[in-house]
Order: sequence, then structure tokens, then C-alpha cells
Amino acid sequence: MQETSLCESVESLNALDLDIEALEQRLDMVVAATALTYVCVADVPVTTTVCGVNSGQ
Amino acid sequence: MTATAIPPLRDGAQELRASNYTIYVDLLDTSDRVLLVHGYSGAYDVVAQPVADYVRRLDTKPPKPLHGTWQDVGSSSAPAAPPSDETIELLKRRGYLTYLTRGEERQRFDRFTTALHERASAAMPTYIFMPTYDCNLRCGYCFQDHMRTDPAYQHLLRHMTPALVERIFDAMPALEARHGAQHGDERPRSVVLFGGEPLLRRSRPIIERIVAMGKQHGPTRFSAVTNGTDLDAYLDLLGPDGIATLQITLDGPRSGHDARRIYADGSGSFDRICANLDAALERGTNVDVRMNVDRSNIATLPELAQVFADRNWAGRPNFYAYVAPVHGTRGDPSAPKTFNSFELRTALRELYEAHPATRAISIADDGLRATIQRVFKTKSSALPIMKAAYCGAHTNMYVFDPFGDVYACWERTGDKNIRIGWLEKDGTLELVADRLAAWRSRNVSSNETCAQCRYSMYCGGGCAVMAEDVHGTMFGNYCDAFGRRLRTTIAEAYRNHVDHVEIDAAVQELRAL
Repeated sequence: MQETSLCESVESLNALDLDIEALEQRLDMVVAATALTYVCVADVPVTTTVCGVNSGQ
Repeated sequence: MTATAIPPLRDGAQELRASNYTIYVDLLDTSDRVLLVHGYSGAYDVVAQPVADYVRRLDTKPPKPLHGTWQDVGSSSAPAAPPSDETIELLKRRGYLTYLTRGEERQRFDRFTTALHERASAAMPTYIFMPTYDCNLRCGYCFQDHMRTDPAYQHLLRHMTPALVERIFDAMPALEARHGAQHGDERPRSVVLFGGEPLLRRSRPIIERIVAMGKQHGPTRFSAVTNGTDLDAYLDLLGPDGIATLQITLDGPRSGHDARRIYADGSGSFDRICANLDAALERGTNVDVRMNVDRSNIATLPELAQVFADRNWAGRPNFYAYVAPVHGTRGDPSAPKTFNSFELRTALRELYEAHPATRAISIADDGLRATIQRVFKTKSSALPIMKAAYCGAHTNMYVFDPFGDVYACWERTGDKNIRIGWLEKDGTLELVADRLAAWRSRNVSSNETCAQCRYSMYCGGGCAVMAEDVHGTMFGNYCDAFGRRLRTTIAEAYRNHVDHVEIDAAVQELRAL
């Protein structure tokens, strides 16, 4: 086991057990589950989608 | 054990390298650390600057502007000592480092985008009803203005009939089956009223019909994109049990708004809209006020924010105001009068400092920032906030016009040559397979620029209509400075998160005393 010095610290902010290889193996299942999560957090609008053309409305 | 001097090889074959989809976010209050974000795994990690430098050194694809005039952060030229094996292993697990070749990683990216696109496409459809292409206003910048002012388009100005409304609802089960819905599916469907102006006074009977039939068919969420001028004719249909959400445009305080959003006789619409907005809010309707902003009217936003305060709209839970940039002709965001989205964001932030009341007006990125903060707070996966396609035109949206023609996008309507289907008089739904497939297949893997872009699963490739304006095909990117906006948004979300954590800790300490 190596020592981790301050100059190489890594602080994971989310999905602490994330392993991209494992994630890819069970991607369909994970994505299906995240759809449910999305409903739960839907009270915060994710409004990166703004229709592009000038609206007259 | 000492730090590894040379990146280890996998089976002696391929070199360790930075993922093509690693995003480097400079933090706002420190240069000692960098926030790494992975563009398809959804990982967020704050790392020491030397670690970020090391990853950058292995990044053979420096960020570059894809569209617009913004400059991205370049790769570090400073020598970077490798971190420990343990740190390298962590960076691999999170996705930032990989042994995959570019081609192999592209295939992995495609698998992620396909999974997310399929998830979005399996959602219950959104139905857009366009009762008419007609409108009672004549706004100079409107993308449909020619329909009302050019006699060549007079034939479009008809109104939806009750019989057509019935045919549309009768067609819904077949459309919903295409999205995996079965008989009795209780997932709510969305019905959006759009136009032209959907809530013209004369359209009241047909709108009443649409709302009644929607309720008969099952759980339905109704909303409308309206100019708000004739809302007084619809008050009894508004509210949580009816048309629950309205998007209404105000382009400034009275003087500015009335110079842009005018009736055919040139008179203004501000006072009428405001009175109707008062009534809609009182009925519990969610009202989203949109301001179409360019360099000629942004200075009026503080005055408009004062209107929101004076009318007691600001702070109401069912009131939300946001700005959208007016786009230049042919989608040129560098046109002298217009902002790109990052410029608009920056200009609004400056107004916040000078005129705090203006904080009542948001920008689109504020929602994303709040969501990323929530990801930090709950330490959850970021996959739910990522997307492979920009909007419903590429997943589950059907737009019905007064002729019974079906379109994928409400900004590409009124031309039978581009419709994705139509309803026959006997109710038969005909779909144009190749056009439908084209719209539904646009995602960030379907053009090479987005497929190589580290930001693309946060932006979805941008608006197809704007991309078509720029490239001549919708299978291209429309970036609108998104990369810079995303990095700034993430940096703000992190600062807010840290502030909240510190406040929570202080509160806990006080409680313990």
C-alpha cells in the first residue's frame, strides 16, 4: 500500500463505488434504475434544453 | 514503494492515456486543486493540481473550441510527476485514465449513449397540439412571423377542428405502443399547447375539448407556450388540475416589451399580459416568464425585475423567470446584437452584482447547477442528468398541426415535405419511416464532432434546427459555448456545495454547545 500525499490527493464527490468497467457490464440495468432516480429528483428543473429558434410565443 | 515513473502497459500492448472524455474544471477559489469530471461515466473528483497535470499530460486531445469564439483551457506544459499506483488505479476506475485505444473508447462511448438514448425514447410520449399557426402578435424576431405577414403562407392560418382532436387522441395508443406503453399504462402523458398562439380567444372551444379529452384518456400534464394576451378567456381551465404550467414571454419592462411584442396595429401587449399573469398565478398555475434577450434590451432587465417585485411575483413558488438569447439570422451567434449563451450568462451575472433584484431572473444553467449540487450532496450517480439527445424531437415528441400533419420538432412545422406523418380522415396514422428514423436517430454518437466531444453527454449535441442552420444538416453540432458554460456551472456548484457543507458543520457545532 502506498502513502497518498497531499500533492496527489483525490476526493471523489459522487458515485463512490464507481468502476467504469463494472458499470459498462451492467449498463442497461443501471440506466433503467437511474430513470427512476430521475423522477425522484425532478423537482429541480434540468433546463439545459432551451429551444433554439426565436419563439414568438 | 516509490511512485511509478512510466505509465504501466497492459499486456505490454497499449499505453495508459487520458480518456478523450475527461473534463478539467478550474475551481473558483483555489488553484491548488482541479475538479475532474468524466464525460460518460458521470464521475466527479477533486484532485490535487499535480494529479490533474499528470492526467493532462496523458491527454493527447487538448480541448478546442468547436463553435463560437470562446477559448478553452490548454493542456499544461509543466512537467508532471506520476502519482502512486493506487491513485492511478483510482483514476482508471473513475474513467479518467484508460488503456483503451481511441477506437475502443469510441465504441464504449457509443454503448453509453445508446443506453441513455433508449432510456429517453422509452418515456411516455409528449404531444404538442398546435391549434393554429395564427397569432395576434407581430414580433419581428419570431421564426414564424412570415406565416402571418407573407400572403404566400395564408393557407396555413386555419384552426384545428374537434374531429381532428378526436383523431389525435385515438391515435395515441398506437404511438405509445411504439414507446413500450401497454394498455392501461398509468404513466402520465404530457400535452403541450403551442402555435402560432394556442390560447387565442377564438380557440377557447377547441382548447376546452383538448383538455377534456386528455383527462378522459388518463393522467395528463397540460402546459402551454402562450403570449398570454387572451388568457382571461381561459382562467377556469388554468391551475394544477388543468393547464398547470404556462410559458409566457416578457421582453422587458413596458416600454421595451411594447416596442417588440406588438399587435398587428402596432400597439403594445404588456399591460394585458401582466394582468393575465396576475390571475394565472392566483389560480395556482406555474408561470415561467421567458425573456428573449440581446444586447439592445439586456440593460432593461433590472427594471423588469422591479416589476416582478412590485407585482409580488418574485419569490412566489409558482413563478419562475429566465432569459433566453435571441439568435442571429442563420444561427450566427456572433451577430452584433446577439449574445451566445455564455456571453448572456456573463452579462447577467454582472447585472446581479450591480442590481441584486435582478437575481429573480435565472438562466438555463441555474437548474443544472442546482442538480449537480444535489449530486454532490447525495453522492449519487450523475447518469440521470446526462443525455444522449438534445430534446424530445429525437426521442418521444409528436407535434400535431391543424392539418393533422405530424412533426418531430415544433420549430420545423408547416411544410408537408418535412412532416414525419399524418392522420387520415378515417383516423389512420401514417408515419414516414425514413424521416421519423432520421429525427429519432440524432444523438451525440450520430455525428463525429459530438462523438469526440468531452462535453456532449451534458449538452446532447445542441439544437438540431440550429445545427442545420450552421451545417446544412441536423447531423452536426451546435455548441453555443456549452463547454465553457458547463465548466463554469460545475465550478459554481462545487463552491456552493462547499459553502453549504461548512454552514451545516457550523450549525452542528452550535447545536452541540
